[in-house]
Amino acid sequence: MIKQYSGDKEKALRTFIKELFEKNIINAAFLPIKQGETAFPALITSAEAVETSALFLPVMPVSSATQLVRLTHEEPLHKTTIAFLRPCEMRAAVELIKLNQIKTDNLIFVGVDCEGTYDAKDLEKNDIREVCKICEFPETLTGDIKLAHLGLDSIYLTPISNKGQDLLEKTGNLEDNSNIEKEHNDYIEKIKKEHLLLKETFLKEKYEEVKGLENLQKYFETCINCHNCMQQCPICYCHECFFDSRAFYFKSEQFITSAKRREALKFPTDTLLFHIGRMNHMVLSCVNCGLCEQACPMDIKVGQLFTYVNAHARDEFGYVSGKNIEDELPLTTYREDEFKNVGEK
Amino acid sequence: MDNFEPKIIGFFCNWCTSAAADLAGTSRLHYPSNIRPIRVMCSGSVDMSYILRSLFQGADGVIIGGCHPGDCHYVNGNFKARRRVVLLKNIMRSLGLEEERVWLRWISASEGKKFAETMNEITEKIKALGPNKMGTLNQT
Repeated sequence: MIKQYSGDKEKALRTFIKELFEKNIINAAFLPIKQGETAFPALITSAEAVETSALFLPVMPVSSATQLVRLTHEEPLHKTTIAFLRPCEMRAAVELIKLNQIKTDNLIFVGVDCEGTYDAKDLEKNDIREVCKICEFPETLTGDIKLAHLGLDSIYLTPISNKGQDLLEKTGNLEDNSNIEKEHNDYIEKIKKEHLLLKETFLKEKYEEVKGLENLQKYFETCINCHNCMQQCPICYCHECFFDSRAFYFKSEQFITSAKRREALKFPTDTLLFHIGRMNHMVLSCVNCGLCEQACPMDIKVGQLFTYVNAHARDEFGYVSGKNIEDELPLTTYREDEFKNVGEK
Repeated sequence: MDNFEPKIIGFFCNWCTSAAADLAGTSRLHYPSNIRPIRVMCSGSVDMSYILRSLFQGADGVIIGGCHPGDCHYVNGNFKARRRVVLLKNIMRSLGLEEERVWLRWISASEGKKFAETMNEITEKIKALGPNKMGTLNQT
């Protein structure tokens, strides 16, 4: 059962949101609005404000999931708020909910189809991010409502949860339209297939590019240790990052000892340690959004490397980040009879 | 290379492997002086960044010693440590780093003999691997 609109996608979306405001179904909406050449997520509380919405502009300067952490940090929302998220933002939100960082009370998630977004630094390039080209999730996996539009002439809303069903039913009767569903499904499957094929090549090429110490050092040689990648990462939620802590301050003599072991000790130190260490903390939850790469002032392909490492780690643990709210975070749980090849001898 | 003496950092749980090290000592069992033991309260308290930093700062091998499955003093720290080590090894494999330098072993407080044997074994294996190049890179 779906709720359908016709005409221009952005206009159809505005009609939908206006309807929700006018019928007093929602109190607020959280969606991207136009900001210069790009669009930023914004909280709007009236039907009039929806006129600047830009949900279908292929940009994502920040992750809405990160913003929802801030929005609900001090207390949950009191009244119904509808939030529109791209699939990677939705997946990040799922991970953050598991990490107790987003309070979901009165929050309705709408997962919006996405065919890739532009790097905010590189809008003129007119090309989507490298990680978007190999993304396996053009449509949302979870949430309350799915907003389908890829390969379609307008927007179509399908309830995924009871919460979503209730909200959509309040706007009027849902219709049965299996043709649209099939058309959409075919299109999504086509993209997925293309992207999976590209991802296979990508993983092989990335291994050749980074394997071994020399290559790894080359990959990160321009790192200035600004930690922007961590700041922008939707998964890195810690208020104080371990790698910013006093644990990484050392006595001068320790630096001298370290320098004696090598030709020269390059400063800033501990940059490789930061990247590989951060990987150990969050790579299983990495949603391959590419925001770390966008945040890098030195154009290091951080997002591509994390996507590559994530692809292998997720196979080992059988955990796909953001896929299912029921799946436990792999590093907070365990089974007694697993990984027996490690530890036992 | 023949007289290469590896440095091996041991993160040993207070409740088992550290006690096993004491037992090995009082039982007059020999194990190589290549091991630099660090007592920790639980194998589950070891962040993998410490393993990585050891390797970047010249350790040729790292071993975490924890309680046997089901015996953790804090119920499940050793199981969590195991998952972290599995992830670390997986990441090292993806990046083409030598995961064989990272070991995890369960050694209980009564296993002085197993402790000495394990330390001999890891020293031999790491000797065969040769010096760790992560410790001589200019970039850390």
